[in-house]
Amino acid sequence: MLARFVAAGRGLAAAHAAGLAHRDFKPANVLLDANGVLVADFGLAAPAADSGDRAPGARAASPGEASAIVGTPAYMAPEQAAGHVVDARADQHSFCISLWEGLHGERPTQAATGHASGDPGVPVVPADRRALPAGCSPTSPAASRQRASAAGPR
Amino acid sequence: MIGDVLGQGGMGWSTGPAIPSSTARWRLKVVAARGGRTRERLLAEARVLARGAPGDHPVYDVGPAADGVYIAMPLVEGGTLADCLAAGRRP
Repeated sequence: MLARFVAAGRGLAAAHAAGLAHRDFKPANVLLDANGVLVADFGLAAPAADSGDRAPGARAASPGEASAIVGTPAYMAPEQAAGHVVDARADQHSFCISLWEGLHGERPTQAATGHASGDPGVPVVPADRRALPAGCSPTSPAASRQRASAAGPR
Repeated sequence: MIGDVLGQGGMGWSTGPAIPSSTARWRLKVVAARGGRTRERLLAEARVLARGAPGDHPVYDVGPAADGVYIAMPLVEGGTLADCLAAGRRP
Protein backbone atom coordinates (compact mmCIF):
# COMPACT_ATOMS: atom_id res chain seq x y z
CA MET A 1 0.00 0.00 0.00
CA LEU A 2 2.81 2.39 0.98
CA ALA A 3 4.66 1.52 -2.25
CA ARG A 4 1.61 2.65 -4.22
CA PHE A 5 1.59 5.98 -2.40
CA VAL A 6 5.29 6.43 -3.11
CA ALA A 7 4.66 5.73 -6.81
CA ALA A 8 1.70 8.12 -6.86
CA GLY A 9 3.83 10.77 -5.16
CA ARG A 10 6.46 10.35 -7.87
CA GLY A 11 3.79 10.76 -10.55
CA LEU A 12 2.56 13.91 -8.88
CA ALA A 13 6.11 15.25 -8.55
CA ALA A 14 6.72 14.56 -12.27
CA ALA A 15 3.66 16.64 -13.16
CA HIS A 16 4.85 19.42 -10.86
CA ALA A 17 8.23 19.34 -12.57
CA ALA A 18 6.39 19.82 -15.88
CA GLY A 19 4.65 22.89 -14.46
CA LEU A 20 1.26 21.35 -13.71
CA ALA A 21 -0.74 21.31 -10.50
CA HIS A 22 -3.32 18.52 -10.30
CA ARG A 23 -5.81 20.32 -7.99
CA ASP A 24 -7.88 17.21 -7.30
CA PHE A 25 -5.45 14.57 -6.05
CA LYS A 26 -7.16 11.78 -4.07
CA PRO A 27 -6.98 7.97 -3.92
CA ALA A 28 -9.86 7.70 -6.43
CA ASN A 29 -7.67 9.51 -8.99
CA VAL A 30 -4.80 7.04 -8.65
CA LEU A 31 -5.29 4.21 -11.14
CA LEU A 32 -3.80 0.77 -10.61
CA ASP A 33 -2.83 -1.50 -13.47
CA ALA A 34 -0.51 -4.38 -14.12
CA ASN A 35 2.36 -2.00 -14.87
CA GLY A 36 2.04 0.02 -11.70
CA VAL A 37 0.40 3.20 -10.52
CA LEU A 38 -0.84 6.09 -12.67
CA VAL A 39 -1.98 9.49 -11.45
CA ALA A 40 -5.04 10.39 -13.50
CA ASP A 41 -7.72 12.99 -14.01
CA PHE A 42 -5.67 16.12 -14.32
CA GLY A 43 -8.84 17.55 -15.84
CA LEU A 44 -9.24 20.12 -13.11
CA ALA A 45 -5.63 21.15 -13.26
CA ALA A 46 -4.90 24.83 -13.72
CA PRO A 47 -1.62 26.65 -14.22
CA ALA A 48 0.26 26.89 -10.96
CA ALA A 49 0.18 30.25 -9.23
CA ASP A 50 2.79 32.92 -9.66
CA SER A 51 4.07 33.80 -6.22
CA GLY A 52 7.22 34.96 -4.49
CA ASP A 53 7.81 31.58 -2.91
CA ARG A 54 7.08 29.60 -6.01
CA ALA A 55 7.20 25.85 -5.67
CA PRO A 56 9.75 23.96 -7.80
CA GLY A 57 8.41 23.66 -11.32
CA ALA A 58 5.51 26.03 -10.75
CA ARG A 59 4.78 28.51 -13.52
CA ALA A 60 2.93 31.77 -13.65
CA ALA A 61 -0.82 32.09 -14.07
CA SER A 62 -2.21 34.81 -16.31
CA PRO A 63 -2.20 38.18 -14.57
CA GLY A 64 -5.36 38.74 -12.60
CA GLU A 65 -6.68 35.31 -13.39
CA ALA A 66 -9.36 34.27 -10.91
CA SER A 67 -9.58 30.68 -9.82
CA ALA A 68 -12.86 28.85 -9.40
CA ILE A 69 -12.95 26.53 -6.40
CA VAL A 70 -12.68 23.05 -7.86
CA GLY A 71 -11.50 19.85 -6.28
CA THR A 72 -12.76 17.51 -3.59
CA PRO A 73 -13.40 19.29 -0.26
CA ALA A 74 -12.30 16.37 1.93
CA TYR A 75 -8.80 16.44 0.40
CA MET A 76 -8.53 20.17 -0.33
CA ALA A 77 -5.84 22.50 1.02
CA PRO A 78 -7.09 25.51 3.03
CA GLU A 79 -5.80 27.97 0.41
CA GLN A 80 -7.67 26.05 -2.30
CA ALA A 81 -10.88 25.96 -0.23
CA ALA A 82 -10.52 29.73 0.23
CA GLY A 83 -10.53 30.17 -3.56
CA HIS A 84 -6.91 31.25 -3.99
CA VAL A 85 -4.93 30.31 -7.09
CA VAL A 86 -3.08 27.20 -6.01
CA ASP A 87 0.15 25.46 -6.98
CA ALA A 88 1.95 22.20 -6.31
CA ARG A 89 1.74 22.74 -2.56
CA ALA A 90 -2.04 22.28 -2.58
CA ASP A 91 -1.45 18.87 -4.19
CA GLN A 92 0.99 18.06 -1.41
CA HIS A 93 -1.77 18.76 1.10
CA SER A 94 -4.16 16.48 -0.81
CA PHE A 95 -1.45 13.81 -0.99
CA CYS A 96 -0.92 14.02 2.78
CA ILE A 97 -4.65 13.68 3.49
CA SER A 98 -4.70 10.66 1.16
CA LEU A 99 -1.63 9.14 2.83
CA TRP A 100 -3.21 9.72 6.25
CA GLU A 101 -6.29 7.88 5.02
CA GLY A 102 -4.10 5.05 3.80
CA LEU A 103 -2.25 4.78 7.11
CA HIS A 104 -5.18 5.28 9.49
CA GLY A 105 -8.08 3.96 7.45
CA GLU A 106 -9.88 7.27 7.72
CA ARG A 107 -9.31 10.91 6.84
CA PRO A 108 -8.26 13.45 9.48
CA THR A 109 -10.97 15.47 11.16
CA GLN A 110 -12.07 18.99 10.40
CA ALA A 111 -10.39 20.09 13.64
CA ALA A 112 -7.08 18.66 12.44
CA THR A 113 -7.22 20.19 8.98
CA GLY A 114 -8.38 23.59 10.23
CA HIS A 115 -11.11 24.05 7.64
CA ALA A 116 -14.44 22.51 6.81
CA SER A 117 -13.97 19.26 4.94
CA GLY A 118 -17.54 19.37 3.74
CA ASP A 119 -17.82 15.73 4.73
CA PRO A 120 -19.90 15.23 7.89
CA GLY A 121 -19.05 11.54 7.77
CA VAL A 122 -15.37 12.06 8.58
CA PRO A 123 -14.72 10.19 11.84
CA VAL A 124 -12.64 11.41 14.76
CA VAL A 125 -8.98 10.38 14.65
CA PRO A 126 -7.66 9.51 18.14
CA ALA A 127 -5.06 12.03 19.33
CA ASP A 128 -2.34 9.39 19.65
CA ARG A 129 -2.65 8.58 15.95
CA ARG A 130 -2.30 12.10 14.65
CA ALA A 131 1.44 12.02 14.07
CA LEU A 132 2.67 12.45 10.53
CA PRO A 133 6.21 13.17 9.33
CA ALA A 134 7.33 16.78 9.83
CA GLY A 135 6.14 18.94 6.97
CA CYS A 136 3.37 16.52 6.14
CA SER A 137 0.76 17.64 8.68
CA PRO A 138 -2.55 18.76 7.19
CA THR A 139 -2.19 21.98 9.18
CA SER A 140 1.33 22.82 8.09
CA PRO A 141 1.70 26.02 6.08
CA ALA A 142 2.22 25.78 2.36
CA ALA A 143 5.92 26.64 2.71
CA SER A 144 6.67 23.64 4.90
CA ARG A 145 4.74 21.38 2.57
CA GLN A 146 7.02 22.56 -0.21
CA ARG A 147 9.97 21.34 1.82
CA ALA A 148 8.16 18.05 2.34
CA SER A 149 8.12 17.52 -1.40
CA ALA A 150 11.76 18.52 -1.81
CA ALA A 151 12.72 15.93 0.81
CA GLY A 152 10.30 13.37 -0.57
CA PRO A 153 10.97 9.78 -1.57
CA ARG A 154 13.62 9.19 -4.19
CA MET B 1 -17.49 5.55 -33.66
CA ILE B 2 -17.48 6.57 -30.03
CA GLY B 3 -18.28 4.22 -27.13
CA ASP B 4 -20.88 4.75 -24.43
CA VAL B 5 -20.53 7.62 -22.01
CA LEU B 6 -18.94 6.14 -18.86
CA GLY B 7 -19.29 9.09 -16.60
CA GLN B 8 -20.48 12.66 -16.57
CA GLY B 9 -19.76 15.31 -14.00
CA GLY B 10 -19.13 18.96 -13.42
CA MET B 11 -15.91 18.85 -15.40
CA GLY B 12 -17.19 17.04 -18.50
CA TRP B 13 -17.76 13.48 -19.59
CA SER B 14 -15.83 10.44 -20.75
CA THR B 15 -16.57 7.48 -22.97
CA GLY B 16 -15.58 3.87 -23.08
CA PRO B 17 -13.37 2.43 -25.83
CA ALA B 18 -13.94 4.35 -29.04
CA ILE B 19 -14.43 1.18 -31.05
CA PRO B 20 -15.97 -1.43 -28.72
CA SER B 21 -15.30 -4.37 -31.03
CA SER B 22 -11.63 -3.54 -31.49
CA THR B 23 -8.76 -4.52 -29.25
CA ALA B 24 -7.85 -0.88 -28.76
CA ARG B 25 -8.46 -0.05 -25.12
CA TRP B 26 -8.74 3.66 -24.78
CA ARG B 27 -11.22 6.26 -23.72
CA LEU B 28 -12.06 9.77 -24.73
CA LYS B 29 -12.64 12.41 -22.12
CA VAL B 30 -14.12 15.82 -22.82
CA VAL B 31 -13.40 18.52 -20.27
CA ALA B 32 -15.99 21.27 -20.38
CA ALA B 33 -14.59 24.78 -20.69
CA ARG B 34 -16.59 27.97 -20.86
CA GLY B 35 -14.75 30.86 -22.43
CA GLY B 36 -11.87 30.90 -24.84
CA ARG B 37 -9.17 31.60 -22.28
CA THR B 38 -10.16 28.66 -20.08
CA ARG B 39 -10.18 26.41 -23.14
CA GLU B 40 -6.78 27.61 -24.29
CA ARG B 41 -5.41 27.00 -20.80
CA LEU B 42 -6.84 23.47 -20.69
CA LEU B 43 -5.47 22.76 -24.15
CA ALA B 44 -2.01 23.95 -23.15
CA GLU B 45 -2.10 21.76 -20.04
CA ALA B 46 -3.36 18.71 -21.91
CA ARG B 47 -0.48 19.13 -24.37
CA VAL B 48 1.96 19.13 -21.48
CA LEU B 49 0.35 15.88 -20.24
CA ALA B 50 0.60 14.44 -23.76
CA ARG B 51 4.38 14.85 -23.62
CA GLY B 52 4.22 12.20 -20.91
CA ALA B 53 5.66 11.94 -17.43
CA PRO B 54 6.52 8.75 -15.55
CA GLY B 55 3.76 7.80 -13.13
CA ASP B 56 1.13 9.92 -14.82
CA HIS B 57 -1.76 8.56 -16.87
CA PRO B 58 -0.58 8.69 -20.52
CA VAL B 59 -2.37 10.94 -22.98
CA TYR B 60 -2.52 9.92 -26.65
CA ASP B 61 -4.02 13.02 -28.19
CA VAL B 62 -5.66 16.30 -27.26
CA GLY B 63 -7.56 18.95 -29.15
CA PRO B 64 -10.45 21.40 -29.09
CA ALA B 65 -13.97 19.96 -28.83
CA ALA B 66 -17.33 21.67 -29.29
CA ASP B 67 -17.81 22.28 -25.59
CA GLY B 68 -14.26 22.18 -24.33
CA VAL B 69 -11.20 20.04 -24.83
CA TYR B 70 -10.97 16.35 -25.71
CA ILE B 71 -8.32 14.06 -24.27
CA ALA B 72 -7.73 10.54 -25.66
CA MET B 73 -6.04 8.17 -23.23
CA PRO B 74 -5.60 4.47 -22.58
CA LEU B 75 -8.34 2.75 -20.60
CA VAL B 76 -6.96 1.53 -17.26
CA GLU B 77 -9.17 -1.14 -15.74
CA GLY B 78 -7.31 -2.19 -12.60
CA GLY B 79 -9.34 -0.06 -10.21
CA THR B 80 -8.09 2.81 -8.09
CA LEU B 81 -6.13 3.32 -4.90
CA ALA B 82 -9.46 4.25 -3.26
CA ASP B 83 -10.81 0.78 -4.09
CA CYS B 84 -7.64 -0.68 -2.63
CA LEU B 85 -8.02 1.30 0.63
CA ALA B 86 -11.71 0.36 0.89
CA ALA B 87 -10.83 -3.32 0.41
CA GLY B 88 -8.26 -3.03 3.19
CA ARG B 89 -10.90 -1.68 5.58
CA ARG B 90 -13.24 -4.60 5.03
CA PRO B 91 -13.08 -7.18 7.87
